[in-house]
Amino acid sequence: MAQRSGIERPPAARWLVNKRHRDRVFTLLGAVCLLSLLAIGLRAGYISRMNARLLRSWTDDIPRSAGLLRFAVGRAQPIYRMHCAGCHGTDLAGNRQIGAPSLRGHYWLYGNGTIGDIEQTLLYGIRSGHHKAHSLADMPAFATARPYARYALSSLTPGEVDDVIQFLRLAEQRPADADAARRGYAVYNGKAQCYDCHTSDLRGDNYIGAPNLRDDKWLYGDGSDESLRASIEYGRAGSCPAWGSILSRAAVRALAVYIYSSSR
Amino acid sequence: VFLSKLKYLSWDQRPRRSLLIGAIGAALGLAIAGFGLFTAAGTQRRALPPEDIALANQHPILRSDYEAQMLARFNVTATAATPEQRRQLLDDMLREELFVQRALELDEPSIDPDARAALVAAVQQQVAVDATSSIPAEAQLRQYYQQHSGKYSTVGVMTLADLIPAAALGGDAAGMGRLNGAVNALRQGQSLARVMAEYGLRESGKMNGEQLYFAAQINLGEILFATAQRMSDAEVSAPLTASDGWHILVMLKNARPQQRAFGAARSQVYNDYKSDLEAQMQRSEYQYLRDRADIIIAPELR
Repeated sequence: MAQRSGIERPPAARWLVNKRHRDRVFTLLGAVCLLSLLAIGLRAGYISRMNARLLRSWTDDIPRSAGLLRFAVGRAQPIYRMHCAGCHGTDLAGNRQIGAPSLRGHYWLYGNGTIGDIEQTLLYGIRSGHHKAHSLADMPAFATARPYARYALSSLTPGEVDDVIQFLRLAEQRPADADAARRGYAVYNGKAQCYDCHTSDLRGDNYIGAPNLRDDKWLYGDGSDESLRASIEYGRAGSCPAWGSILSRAAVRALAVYIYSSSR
Repeated sequence: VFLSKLKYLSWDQRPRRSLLIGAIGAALGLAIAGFGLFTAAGTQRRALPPEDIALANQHPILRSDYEAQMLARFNVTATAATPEQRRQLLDDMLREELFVQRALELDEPSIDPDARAALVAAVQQQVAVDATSSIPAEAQLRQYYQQHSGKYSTVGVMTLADLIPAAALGGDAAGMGRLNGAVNALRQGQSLARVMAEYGLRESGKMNGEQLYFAAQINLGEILFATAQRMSDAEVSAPLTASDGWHILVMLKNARPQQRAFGAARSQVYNDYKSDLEAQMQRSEYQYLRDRADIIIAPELR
């Protein structure tokens, strides 16, 4: 053939001209395609079966199954990187500049960190507009004429804000001006109504997402007077999308399991 | 050995191979079509999807909601709940679902004010779901911050002494002379207390220590505040007349509003950006509904 056309074929092509060789190649290619299809089908079947198992399990049973836990974590990692890491960081450490909490510790702004609690937050979000979202309270902006949109609250003077800051410093057992802290205590429990969300013992309320003010963990900033002042004067209202309308139920549950297992 | 076992696919036996490949292709196609057909949205389902605890007339009751309600209602997890608690909760959730479906059949939402409000809120939320679930890029936030920079400034704070005559001031030259004398004395650096005693002035009581601008505006009134906010530290105003008489303003400290850096205002910018986007989408939806609706309006309101 090469002689007839006058073209010198490369060695591989010459090898393929042989019918026996050609048959072998096509048979091999066919077998590879079939095996690949079979592998893809088996993999899809396995994922589908595991997804169903993950969704059918009661959330507090999931940690007891190492296989399910492994499957969920493996499935969730790329989803987390794509959708969550932008705010909460690739290492789940959070971002205090934007008030995205760390997902690695034992401290939870909403709920108690069970898979069920995390799943509810993921499904419906925080201040996402979904009617099942966590959206019962915001941090008022006390340096504005109308600090709170939900009900009437008085603005605070700069001096009162300073006093509250001193009170918070004292509560965290940091050096503080005792007289100012005493006045701040009165503002906290009176005019500003801080106790209503953060509770009288300042330990916060994880039902409405009010942070604990007695520990050294900060949702926004670093706990400096400036960052405390910014929170008190301008308010805070972080949000998280309702992933239930974006991701599949299985993906949401896998994410919840991943976050749960990362926090332990 | 493996290749020899696959002799059915041998190139020599074309009819058998073609038949086999055709059959595999047909089976695969049927499987894909069947999967699509029986799992498509709106399809009548006989099997319970794994994420649901029940289907009532094809409407799902979510397993996650069931677990959340179990915790909220009985304060136990679903695994720890008794069979009685499980049955009771499921029964209640089924009851609610069926009643909701019946209410929709009876068109109850269109006449019940609470249901109407809930429906409006639900549609607004649905319309804005793209905005609420999107994460704006940093560049978009910075652009928004620059476009709305006026919103992101600190609140001005002033500490001001607002002096008024202690006794009624005659409208004559002597009265005005007294006020001008007090202004000159203050500008020459005499102490506030001494000038007040010497010229018969007292503080109006409208300003008490540091005041945020908006509070000072309310307390002083528009005329005095307009002057006060332009004053510098330690500046003394000329005698000013307001609706309640003469005033002299002594600015002890005036911290004017300052632009907040993007980093400091970022969380607020983020919320405002998303709120604006949601409002914009809701306006568009309303406009779209308005345009396609057949609305007849009474002549007097046209």
